Amino acid sequence: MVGLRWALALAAVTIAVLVAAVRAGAVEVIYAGPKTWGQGWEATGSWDYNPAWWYFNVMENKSCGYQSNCWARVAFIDDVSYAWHCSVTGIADATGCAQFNDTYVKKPLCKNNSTIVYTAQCKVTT
Amino acid sequence: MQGHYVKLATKASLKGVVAVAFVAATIAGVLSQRPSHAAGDPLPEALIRNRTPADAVPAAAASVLERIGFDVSNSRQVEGDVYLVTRHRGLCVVSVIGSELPFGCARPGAFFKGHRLFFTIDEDGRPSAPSRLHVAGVARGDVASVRLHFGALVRTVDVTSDGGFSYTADPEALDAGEPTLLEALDRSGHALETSPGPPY
Repeated sequence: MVGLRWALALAAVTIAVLVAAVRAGAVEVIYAGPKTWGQGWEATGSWDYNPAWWYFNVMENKSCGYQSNCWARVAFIDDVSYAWHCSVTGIADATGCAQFNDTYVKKPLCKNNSTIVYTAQCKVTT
Repeated sequence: MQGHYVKLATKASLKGVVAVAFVAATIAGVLSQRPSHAAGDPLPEALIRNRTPADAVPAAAASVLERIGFDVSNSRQVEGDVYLVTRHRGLCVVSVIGSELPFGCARPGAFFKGHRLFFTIDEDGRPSAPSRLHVAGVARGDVASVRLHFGALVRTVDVTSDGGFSYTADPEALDAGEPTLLEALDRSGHALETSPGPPY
């Protein structure tokens, strides 16, 4: 009986630590790449669920850098209206968006929004 | 024998001076957090002036940015909601739009890469029918304003003394969707450069 109590207490502490780690932004996932992206190719990551909200989405390490046609797009898509949030388009080396106080189920998207081929990776963080 | 000691002492002093110089240069580089830049590709002018309290990113946004590797201690406000912030030794244009922080970052040494404008387009809603659209960026020193084309519709925004610009689409521009072209204009209104909008 004492052993069971200890096991339950240990499990509770472990869960609390994991939740705290997730809330502290401890989990970082590369959901696409590094790979070669053809024109218009896009990728999505998995849906998030409380408390592991995705809050940061970036397409980075683009091989085309800041060429005038090196477009990338990132966005979060919600699971109700499938509307896009925190959607950013840019030609910089890294294009991304972070958000706070937004607790809704969503999945990250990134896209080669250009007419050229380049290499890049997409990353999301809880 | 004495000469030998002097030679050794001189060598040791020289090594000491080199070591101190190296450490000082490293510390200076880390503290300044300014990415190096190639000749002919100037840093945004806001980075050259002294930092003021107004340059601080709002606290809630700063807290999130710090968690993902931004160094907000050297931020510069270049327009009302637009900031320059360093991240991983790169330089980024970050907007603070409600609870969203859209950004674009350039490699050290190539911020403008010969262009006149560095900008991002951020929006909410479906791409075909956005409910909010905002264009933000930084321009080189010879740019006085930026003309945004939304098809036939044209909007012009002034560039601040820090080189920043920001445009939030009005309902008419929002109906037209993403900008099709951005023009960097000089003080007399002549186009110095044109940048096409995203193809999709």
